[in-house]
Amino acid sequence: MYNAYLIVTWAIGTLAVALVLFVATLTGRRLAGDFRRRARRRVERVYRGLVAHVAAGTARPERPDLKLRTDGVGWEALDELVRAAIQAAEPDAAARLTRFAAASGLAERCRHQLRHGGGWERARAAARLADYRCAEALDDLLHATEDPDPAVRTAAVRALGRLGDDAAIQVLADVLARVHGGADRLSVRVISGNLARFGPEAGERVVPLLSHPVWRVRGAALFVLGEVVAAHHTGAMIACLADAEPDVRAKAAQALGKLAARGALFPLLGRLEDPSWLVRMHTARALGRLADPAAIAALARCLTDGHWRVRQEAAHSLAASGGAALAALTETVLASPDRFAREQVVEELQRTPLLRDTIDRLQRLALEDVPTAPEAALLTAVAKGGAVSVMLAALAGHGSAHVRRVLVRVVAPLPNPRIDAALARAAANDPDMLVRHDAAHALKERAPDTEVA
Amino acid sequence: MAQQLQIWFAAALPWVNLFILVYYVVVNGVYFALLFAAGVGAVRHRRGHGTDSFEDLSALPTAPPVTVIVPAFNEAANLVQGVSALLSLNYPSHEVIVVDDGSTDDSLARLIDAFALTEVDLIYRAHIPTEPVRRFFVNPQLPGLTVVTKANSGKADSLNVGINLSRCPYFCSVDADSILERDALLRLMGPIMADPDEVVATGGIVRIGNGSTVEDGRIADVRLPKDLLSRLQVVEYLRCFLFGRAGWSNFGSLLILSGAFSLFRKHPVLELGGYSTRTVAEDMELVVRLHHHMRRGGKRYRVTFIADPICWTEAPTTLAQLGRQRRRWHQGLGETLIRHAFLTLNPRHGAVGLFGMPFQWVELWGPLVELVGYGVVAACALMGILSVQFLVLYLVLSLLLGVLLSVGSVLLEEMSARSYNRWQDLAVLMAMAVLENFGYRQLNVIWRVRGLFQFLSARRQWDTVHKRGFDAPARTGEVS
Repeated sequence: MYNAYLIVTWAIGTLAVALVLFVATLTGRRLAGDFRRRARRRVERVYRGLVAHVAAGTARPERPDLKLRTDGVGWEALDELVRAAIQAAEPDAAARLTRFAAASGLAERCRHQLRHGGGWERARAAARLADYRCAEALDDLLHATEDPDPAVRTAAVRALGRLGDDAAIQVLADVLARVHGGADRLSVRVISGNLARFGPEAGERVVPLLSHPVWRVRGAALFVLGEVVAAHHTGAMIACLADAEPDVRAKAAQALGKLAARGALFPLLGRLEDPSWLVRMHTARALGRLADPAAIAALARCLTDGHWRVRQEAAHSLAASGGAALAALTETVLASPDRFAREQVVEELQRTPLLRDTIDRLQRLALEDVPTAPEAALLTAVAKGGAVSVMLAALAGHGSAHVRRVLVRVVAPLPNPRIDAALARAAANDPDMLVRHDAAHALKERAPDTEVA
Repeated sequence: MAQQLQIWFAAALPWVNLFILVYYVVVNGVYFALLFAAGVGAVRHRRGHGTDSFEDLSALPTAPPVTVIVPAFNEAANLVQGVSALLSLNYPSHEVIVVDDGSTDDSLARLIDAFALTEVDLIYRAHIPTEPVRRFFVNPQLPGLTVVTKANSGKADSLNVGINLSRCPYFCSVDADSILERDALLRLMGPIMADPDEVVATGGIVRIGNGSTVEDGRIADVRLPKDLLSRLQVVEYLRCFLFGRAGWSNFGSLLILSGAFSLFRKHPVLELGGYSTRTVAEDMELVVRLHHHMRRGGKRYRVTFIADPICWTEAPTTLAQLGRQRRRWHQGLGETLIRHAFLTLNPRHGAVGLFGMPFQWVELWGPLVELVGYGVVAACALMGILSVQFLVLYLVLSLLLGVLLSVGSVLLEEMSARSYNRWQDLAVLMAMAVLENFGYRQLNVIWRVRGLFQFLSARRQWDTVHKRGFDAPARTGEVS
C-alpha cells in the first residue's frame, strides 16, 4: 500500500512538473510571439517607407542603410516585407527590389543557408530565393535538385520553376526522367507543373523525352508540351498517338487538344476508333477544343459510343463548339435511333442555355410571324428524351402566353404524372384564357374520364 | 447473502483494480505517445512552413479537379452561405454537388432562389447503388454547381449519390453546416500533389465556429463561443484533431477522417462500393475499408491528416443534442470495429492492424471501464474499505493527466494555426481544460456507454442535430 502511495505521489509530482512546463512553454511562446510581432511592426514601420521608395525608384537599391542583426526579428521582418513587396510589384519595381535584396544581404543569407543550413533551412532558403527572384542563386538551386533531402529537392524544383531561368529547364527535364524512372520520389505533378512555367523553351528540352523507354516519362513530357503550347512539336506529339501505351496516346490527344493544333485533326479523328475508351474520351475532348467543322460529324458519331464517358465528352464538345455543332446535337435528338445518344445530348442541352434560348425564341418568332415548327420539334424531341422539367418550369412561369400554349402542345402527348399536374395547374390558374383552354383540352385527351373545371 | 457478496467483492476487487490500472496506464501511455508524435509533427510542419508554398499550387496546371459533395438534411440555416463559400474556394478546378437528402425545411427553395437554379432532367448512373434520386437543379451560368434531391436515406447514401454524379478524379465531402477557409481545399490537396501515387485520402482539421463572426460565408473573426458547452467542445476538438488524428497519422494508423471535411481519390472508393449505408459512422468505416482494400491489393498507399486546412463547424449547444451526437459516434465506432474485427492484431495490415485497430477497441470499451471504476469507488465507500487519502491522490492524478493532455492540445494549436490571438481566449481555453474534468467528462462517459449499449443492441439511429446557423441571434432562453 505504501508503494502505491509512493508511485501515485511520484506520478502526480511528475505530471505537475510537466504541466507547469507545458503552461510555461505556452505562455512563453505566446509572450515571445507577441514580442516578435511588436518588434516586427516596429521594423516594418521603419523600413516600409524605404522599401516603398526602392520600389518606386526614388531610393537607390544598391546602398541600403540597414542596422539589423542577421537572422534577428528585424531581419525576418525586413525579409518578409521585401518578399511581399516583390510579389505585389510591377516588373520594374520588382527588379529594383531584387537588387535591394541582393545589396542588403538578404538573398546572400539565403544562399548561405541553402549551402550550409539544416534540412528545413535549406528548403526554406530555396523558396525565399525564388521569392527574391535571385538569378545569382541559380547554380545553388540547380545543385539543390541533387540534395539528399526530398523537401529541399522539391523546394528547389519549385524555386527553379518560379525563377524561370532557361538554364534550369534541362535540369528539371532530367529530374522528371529520373523521377519517372523510379530513381527519385519527388512529385511528378510539381515537376511537370514547374517545367510548364518555362513556356515553349521547355518544349525543346522535353521533346527528346517522347522517346524515353519508360512510358510514364513519355506521358509527362506530353503533358508539359501541351501546357507550354509547343505548336512546332505537333509532329512529334502526333506520332505519340500511335504509342503502344494507352495512357500515352490519351496524353498525346490531351496535349494536341490544348494546342488546338489544326494539323492534328485527321490523326485525332483516327483515334476515335481507339480500343481504349480513355483515348477516345480525350480525343473527343481535344476535337471539341479544335472546334473544326470537319470534326463535327465524327464527334456526332461518338455520341453512339459504347462508353458513357466518351458520349458525355462528345456531347460536351459539340455543345461548346456552338454553330453547326449545335445543329448536329439537335439532329441527334430529333433523328438518332440510339436512345443513349439522345439522352446524352438532352442532358447536355439542359446544362447549356440552348434550351431556354429556344423557348424564348418561340416568343420572338411568333411576334415576327415566323413559323416556329423547328423549335417546337426540338422541344418535343427533348421532352420525349425525358427532359420535361425545363418545359414545365416555363409552362408555369414564362411571360408569353404564346410560348405557354406551344409548351402545352409539346408536353401534352407525353406520359408523365408531373405533366398531368402541370397541365391541371395551367388549366386552373393560367392568366391567359387560351392557355387554360388548351391545357384543359390536353388534360381531357390524356384522361377522357377526368373532370376538368 | 450480503455478507457473501461482500466476500466475493473483496476477492474480486484486487483483480478489478489491476484491470483498471492496466487500462489506465495503456490508454494514457498511448495518449502521451500520440501527443509526442503530434508535437514532433507540429514542429516539423512549423519548420517546413514557407517551403510548401501551397499558394503556388493554384498557379500550377497540375492540380487535379475535385468534386465537393455536400450532403444536406434540413440545413436551411447555413446551406446558402456554405455553398457560396464553396463555389468561391481558391482552387483551380472544382465542382460542387449538393445532395438534398429529403429535407423537410426550405433548404431547397433557398438554394433555388439564391443561385437561380432551374430544374433539369440529368442522367443518373448508379455506379454505386443508391436510393432513387428525384430532381436535379442547375444554372447554366454556374456550371460548377449541381443540386440533386432524393428521399431521405441518410448521409452515406447522399454521399454515394454525389460520388455517382461526380465528374472529377477526387472528391471531398463537406458537411452543409460547415464553412471552409478559402484555401482549405488547396491545402488539403497538398499531400496529394506532393505524392499523387500514394496518398488516397486526406483529412483536415474541423474546428468549432460558434461565436465567430461570419461574413460572406467566411469566418471573418475567430472568437471563442460564449456558452460553456461549446467552449468545452473547443478544447475537446483541439485534443481530438491536433494530437489524436495528427498523432495516428504520424504512426501510419489513421482510421478516422472526419466526414465534415475529408478528401478521397474516387477510383478506389468506387471499387469499394462507396460509403456503407449500414453504419452511422460511414466516414470511419470507409477509411478502415480503404486500408483493408489497399493492403489486400498490396498497394503502397497513405491516409494522411494535416492540421492546416481548416473547416469550421457549428457545435451542438444543448446537452440533449450533444448527447445524441456522442451516442451516435460511439455506436458508429462499435459498428465499424465489429465489421472489420479481422484487421485487429493482424500483422498483414501493418500499423493499422497492430496499433490502430486494437486501440480503437480500447476506446470503445473505455467508457464502460471508467464507469465501472466509478462504481467500484462507490461500492468501496459503501463497504467502508475506501482509502479517502488514496482516492484523493488518484483523482488529482487523473485530473492532472486530463489537464496535461488538454493543455498539450492548446500548445499544439499555438504552434500550428494560432487562431485565438487574445490572451483572454488562451486563459479561457486553459480554464476549460481544467473544467471539463468536472461533470463534462462524466457526462461524455454516460453518453458513450449509452452508445455502446445502442451498438450492442443493434439499434441504428441517425439523430438529427438542429443547427441555428452561424449568423442567427440566440433565441430567448437558449444557450448562446
